[in-house]
Amino acid sequence: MTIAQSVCATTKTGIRPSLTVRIVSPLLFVVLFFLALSYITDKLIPVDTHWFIARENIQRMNRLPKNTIDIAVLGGSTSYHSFSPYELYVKYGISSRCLGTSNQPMSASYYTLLELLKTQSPRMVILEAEKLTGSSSEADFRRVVDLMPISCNKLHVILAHTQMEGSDSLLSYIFPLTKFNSTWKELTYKSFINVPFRVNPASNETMYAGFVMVSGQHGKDYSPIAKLGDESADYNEESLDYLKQIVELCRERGIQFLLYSSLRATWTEQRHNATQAFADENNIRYIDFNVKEAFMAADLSYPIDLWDTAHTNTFGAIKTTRFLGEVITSACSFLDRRNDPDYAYFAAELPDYEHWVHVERIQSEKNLASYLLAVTEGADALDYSVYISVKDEASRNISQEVGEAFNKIGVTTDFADKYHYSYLCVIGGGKVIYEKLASDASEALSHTGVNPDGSAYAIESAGYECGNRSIIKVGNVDASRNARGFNIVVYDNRARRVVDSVTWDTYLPDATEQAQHKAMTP
Amino acid sequence: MSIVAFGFFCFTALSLLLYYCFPLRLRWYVLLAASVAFYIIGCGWALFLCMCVMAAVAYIGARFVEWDDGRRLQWIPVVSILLVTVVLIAFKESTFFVNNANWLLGFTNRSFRFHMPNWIAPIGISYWALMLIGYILDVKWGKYPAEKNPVKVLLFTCYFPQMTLGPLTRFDDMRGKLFVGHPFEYEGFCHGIQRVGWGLFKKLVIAERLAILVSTIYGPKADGYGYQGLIIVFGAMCYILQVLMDFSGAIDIVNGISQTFGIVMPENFQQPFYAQSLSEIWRRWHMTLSFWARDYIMYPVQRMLTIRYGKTMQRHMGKKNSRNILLYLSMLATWFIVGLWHNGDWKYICGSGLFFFVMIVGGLVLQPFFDSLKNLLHVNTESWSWCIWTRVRSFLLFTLSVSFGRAYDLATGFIFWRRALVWNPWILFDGTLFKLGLDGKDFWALVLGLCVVLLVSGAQIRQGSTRVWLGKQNIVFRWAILFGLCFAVLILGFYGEGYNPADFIYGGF
Repeated sequence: MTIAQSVCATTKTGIRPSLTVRIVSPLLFVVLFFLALSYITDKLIPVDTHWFIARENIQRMNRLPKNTIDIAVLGGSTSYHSFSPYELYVKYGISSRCLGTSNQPMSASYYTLLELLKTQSPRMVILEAEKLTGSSSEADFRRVVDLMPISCNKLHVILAHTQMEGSDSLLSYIFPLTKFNSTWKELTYKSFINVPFRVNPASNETMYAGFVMVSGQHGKDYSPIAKLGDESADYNEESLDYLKQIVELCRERGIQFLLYSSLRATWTEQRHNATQAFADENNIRYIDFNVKEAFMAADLSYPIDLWDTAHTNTFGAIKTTRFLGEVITSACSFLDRRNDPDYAYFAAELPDYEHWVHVERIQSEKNLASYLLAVTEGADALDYSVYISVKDEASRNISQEVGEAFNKIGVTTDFADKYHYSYLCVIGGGKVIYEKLASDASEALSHTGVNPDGSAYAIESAGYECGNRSIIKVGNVDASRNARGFNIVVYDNRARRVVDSVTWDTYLPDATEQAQHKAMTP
Repeated sequence: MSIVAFGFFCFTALSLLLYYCFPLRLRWYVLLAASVAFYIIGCGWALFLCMCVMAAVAYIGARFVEWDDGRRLQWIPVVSILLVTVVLIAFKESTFFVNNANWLLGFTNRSFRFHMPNWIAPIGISYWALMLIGYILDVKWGKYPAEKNPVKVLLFTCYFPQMTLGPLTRFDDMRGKLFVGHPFEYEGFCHGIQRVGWGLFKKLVIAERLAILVSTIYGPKADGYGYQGLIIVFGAMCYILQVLMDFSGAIDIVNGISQTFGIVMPENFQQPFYAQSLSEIWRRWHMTLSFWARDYIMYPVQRMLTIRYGKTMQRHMGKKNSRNILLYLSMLATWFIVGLWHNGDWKYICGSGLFFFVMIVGGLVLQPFFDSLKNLLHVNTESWSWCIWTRVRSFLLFTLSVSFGRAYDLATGFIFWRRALVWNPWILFDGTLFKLGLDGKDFWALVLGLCVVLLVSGAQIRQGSTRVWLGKQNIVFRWAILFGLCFAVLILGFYGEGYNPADFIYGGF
């Protein structure tokens, strides 16, 4: 019997389902199908750093308590790397949030703002102006639109965008699965575990109110724009159009609007002039941190405050935000939200934020004396377990300042004349809990113990004549840089991971000013 | 418009909605309107008119059979058949004739060469032309009366789900299905949708992955330094599986959509790789073409030869021999035309046509020898192992022949198989298979997909339709299977933004 025949036979002789079953069953199937589709689509949307940030800033936007955002910050990566909302909160009690996504097109900024205004009533909108004279790709646009909840705004932005040449199809925006289905190969069991917002599982970058913290310093110096000429860059016409709509929307809703350009090495005088011209024409305040005046006023520095040529690091963001805070508060008055119970959710993350700022501070510290004090003093230091292990030797070029710092944190060993001696030290909760210097240059040292969070550690030190090694294992991973001099590893009992691994090579002159930090990977 | 395109499914959904909104007696007009719209959208007014003219030629040819009681205008149906045939050859097979004519001209001193025509063929001409020829012949042979309504002949010609990839249908079979309105049947509708899903699974999950492997093995490397040994055999097997999954997937989609309209179409495949001989494979593979060739080429040619030469040959060769020789000659004509239909190229005529003629006729001629050999060796032909051997043998012979269709030309096909004569079994284990365009995950997804198809095929042989079986299961299990199928297609399928599914192989014939 062929398939066709058997189908006909069953249709004729089989039991017919009732009318209710015939109506309810397909409807239920369709509903369940779309729920499953939505879940699967969410899992298949990429989880790289850019998408993660977009998830945090766009998807979470609608889950925030209503009317709890005073300032919304829009723009590309330059916005969420240069504006730290908690700095404003700590100083002024202002509740602000970054809604930027990587390379966020101006059209996406506009629709993000429209979407935000459905649940929030910000008093001010700040826009990082990079896209007025720059371009974005389809992927940049998708990062916003694919994560937007289904709404009229979403439909509008999709329809407007898909009419443009070269854009993805309407279908791929309505069903993003058709775009991302090939990412199934990247799924792991971790993809189905709910990762808490704020921590990017791919890079361990932490986010606070949309601000993405990054440590590390670019190191190179550049000059801010000192003298402005007449040349002007071309506007991105589409961006210009949408920026005008943003300005208009803010005016209609009585929202203050501020344009700024964050510090970067790639900014040009022409782009500044174009942005300034737009601001002047529309009677908007524009602050460009690449222009000498604002650069100096904010106390910025290219080698210290940039982590690459285009983005500020956490310290650059803090300086930028503090400067913007002064401008904002002088132009507009805000209520102090620090003791407002409606903003408790905002305040709840503050200790974490401050802790991670502290972590980043130690990650970028170059001076050994300052480092020792930073990892042992203050409330945040109570969370650290610090291991010091000497490889080769650590007796030469120890300055008086470093010696005093050692003494201050409770280290009793005098390193003078201990050439090629092994040395181990463990500091927990700001106090030295284990310390040992080898009896002579031929003795290697080892020690094991348990951290306050229950993780085991095993450390070893061997001077040049007895093995020449440094091992600092937390769990099963050796985090030591295993280089000549003081090898220091900082384990964060709160985050349950190693947050810094650094070496000071005391054999070299001025070595105590030249930390060599190991790049931290998750 | 591809039948796996989102637009096609939207078009079908709209057609279905209209179909069931109209009264029963008007529903076939909706099908007609949808089919005409589909044709015009697909290939424009000019080619639509060409198809209409051909349908009109067939209509007139068939009508003249009845009108011409005096038998004075018997030539009109014949001319109709010739006209449809000429149009089919002009659009689809002209390359074959021009190439061969130019090749022959190469032996002369003349520099004249025919130009290759650059015509765009109407969609599905290879299918609807054969259907129209079959229709005229059936009426001429008095199997059923000619259709009086020309619009119905037009719908028979251009019924939209079937138009691009078949299956080949007979007018008398479709008359009771296409031209009557079908009431909405819940079960049939659900089964139709399920079958479309199954077809998409075969095409997008399996055939598209196989296409990547096949393209790599038969790709640019094939011309020079390329692959050899078992990898050639592997590539040929992948190709044959690709053709099966691609074509049977397309037929599943076409038949599934038809079923949602309440129209049950003829089947084109019946687990061909469970066949134990080459002739059986052809009774299970592209069945509608095989049966068409049998009914409209082989039997008539055999009858004609018997009438003309039968008695003479019987006198000289005896009854049995003359009957066999006439049968073989009719088979030769049939296989030649089947090969030619696949595309005007010797690689198809030899690979998909004459090879089977040689193997089947050779098998028939040598049957007494094989039988005596089996008796001599005491081979148990009822055993399980013999069954497996015959299936494997048939599959390998089928693979050997059809794989010529994937080579650039007939000569390359031979070069390919000559390269296969290298013993390198380690390529199955040294990771070579993962370097053919599919990474490990895609490769195992392919293997899993093929296992599922094998499982379902086995179940179909044992208990008929798996959809009927599935319909009898409890709702949780049934929905789990259906969700699994849907999401296997959606997640594992090769489709969507930035990816163009390969054209259906049989869409090019």
